[in-house]
Amino acid sequence: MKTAEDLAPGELESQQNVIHIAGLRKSYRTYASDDKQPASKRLPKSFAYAAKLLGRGGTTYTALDGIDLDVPKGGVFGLLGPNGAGKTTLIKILSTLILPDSGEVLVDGVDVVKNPLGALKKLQTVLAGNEGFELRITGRQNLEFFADLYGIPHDESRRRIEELIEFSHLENFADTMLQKYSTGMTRRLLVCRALLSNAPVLLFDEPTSALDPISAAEFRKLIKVELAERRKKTVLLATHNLAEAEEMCDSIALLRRGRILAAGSTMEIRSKVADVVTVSVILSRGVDGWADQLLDSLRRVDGVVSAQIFNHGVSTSALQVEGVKGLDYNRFFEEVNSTKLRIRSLEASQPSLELAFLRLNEEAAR
Amino acid sequence: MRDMAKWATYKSTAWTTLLGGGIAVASWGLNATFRNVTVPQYNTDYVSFLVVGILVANFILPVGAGVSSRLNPYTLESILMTGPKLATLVVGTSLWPYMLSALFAIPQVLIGVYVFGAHLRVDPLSFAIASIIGILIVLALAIIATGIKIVTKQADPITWGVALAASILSGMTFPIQHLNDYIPGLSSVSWLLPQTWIFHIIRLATLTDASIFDPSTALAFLAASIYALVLLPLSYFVFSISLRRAKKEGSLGWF
Repeated sequence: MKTAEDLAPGELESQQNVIHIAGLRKSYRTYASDDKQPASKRLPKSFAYAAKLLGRGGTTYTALDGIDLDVPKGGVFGLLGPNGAGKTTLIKILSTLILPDSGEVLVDGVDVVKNPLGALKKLQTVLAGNEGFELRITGRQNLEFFADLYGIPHDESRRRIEELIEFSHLENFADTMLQKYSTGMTRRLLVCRALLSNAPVLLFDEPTSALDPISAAEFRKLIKVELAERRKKTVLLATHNLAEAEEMCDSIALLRRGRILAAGSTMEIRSKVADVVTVSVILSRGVDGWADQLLDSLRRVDGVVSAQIFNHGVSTSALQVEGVKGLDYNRFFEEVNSTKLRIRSLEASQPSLELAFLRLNEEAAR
Repeated sequence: MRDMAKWATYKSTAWTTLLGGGIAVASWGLNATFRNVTVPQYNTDYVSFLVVGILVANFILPVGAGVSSRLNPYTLESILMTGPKLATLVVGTSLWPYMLSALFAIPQVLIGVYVFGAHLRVDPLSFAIASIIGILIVLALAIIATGIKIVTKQADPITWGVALAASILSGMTFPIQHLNDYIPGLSSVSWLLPQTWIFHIIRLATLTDASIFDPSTALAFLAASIYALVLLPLSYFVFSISLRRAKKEGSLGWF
């Protein structure tokens, strides 16, 4: 066994990463419905079905286009992107449910393609919306069934299930039929199932989707505090909810159309758009037409990207200006002062993760 | 346990299944009584022949239905993420349907024997071996059907074919030699079906007191065993390539 001193710098780094992905590609064959094809190209339905069964014809859609990603051990790592970015495909490849076209995917050193059963001992996935639970038996019985599939000895599984039921605060519902569970309770039972095998890495795909705000907040706390901090699990969280990612993740990767736009800590991602600044000014409200005049003059100030005014209070308005580095603050304040309106408050803030994501997305689209 | 617990929640289904089984055997028995003919192939009467057909239909064939209905794409993703072995999957998913059908087979056979006077002459060893061979064949067919269902999602031609073959050609309710009365040579086609061999060896073991050590019986058992030996690895192969294809297509969770 090598010690940290024996390892080369690159080797040490790879051992500290619990997930290592290199050159990962995945494309799917898609088949347009007959109606969308021109009549001349339309095949008889039976032919089209046969072509699909034989895996011929159709068009290719690239879901992942050369992903390189390292997820460090411990903490919550966010996988962010809009719908269709490739998050679920990546999660399912890691979960051994989809085979990649090419590339290397290692979970704690185990290749998910060459040794899927070994990889599943290191990683478990919470796929919301595809629970696979039996609704007409109790939560406890469902967990017992999956414990049997994991091959956990009976005494051990009983002890572990009891502990997990307590951990997930499902004590009062453990012996209730699953069909009486709320969405939040089912989601917590899913976490219990993922924890049964005691895998060090947990994947969550849109974990708070379809949850009410209170349940979602509780669930986020469960992932961040209970799983990542107390149980020292590495959590990979796929979400399109940027606020959620900002609240929970230590590091993130931004995905767009199967490619990684940026990866790093949330601070690092924000620093990629560090030249952006948001200035918010609360002003007393002027006479008719003042807002349009002010906006016109502000948009001519060097460095101003956008400006908008909206009602804030009974007699106040909020001016929000987004600018880039080098914003001419003197001109800016001259224009604001020219309105002769009283400034009630002023605040300049760093770019949000959402803004960073939008900017990076725009740059990639160009 | 999970399947049993679920089944027990459908109380009316449990009762109607129980009653349905009794009514079915009664109607078959009445039918057989009125057609008081002998079945020389097994040196028995038609009632006895039919009762063993019912026994196989309830004791062996449902094993396959259990596998293919429970191992569906909807639950497959969750189950596969636990990293189970194929054998665990198959035995785990088929055990309860099998136990349930076996449970229903017992009273049906008792009614056949004590109410309709079926004469069973059972060789226990032959019956045990025939049951094992039959179960292995049906399991293999069910795994192939499940593999196909993983790819095609809806169409399940194997299960459909198994049911059709069992009901028409395999001799569940009549001696297959009678098929030649309708289409000459059709009984030869019937012998190509593995289900025909299941019915045949179980009837040998339960109607003729045939010993496995008797050369002609052993030959029939050997033929059925060959089906099991060929179909089992074939089923593993079909299931594996189907699973791989669904994983390639990313369609494992579709249903």
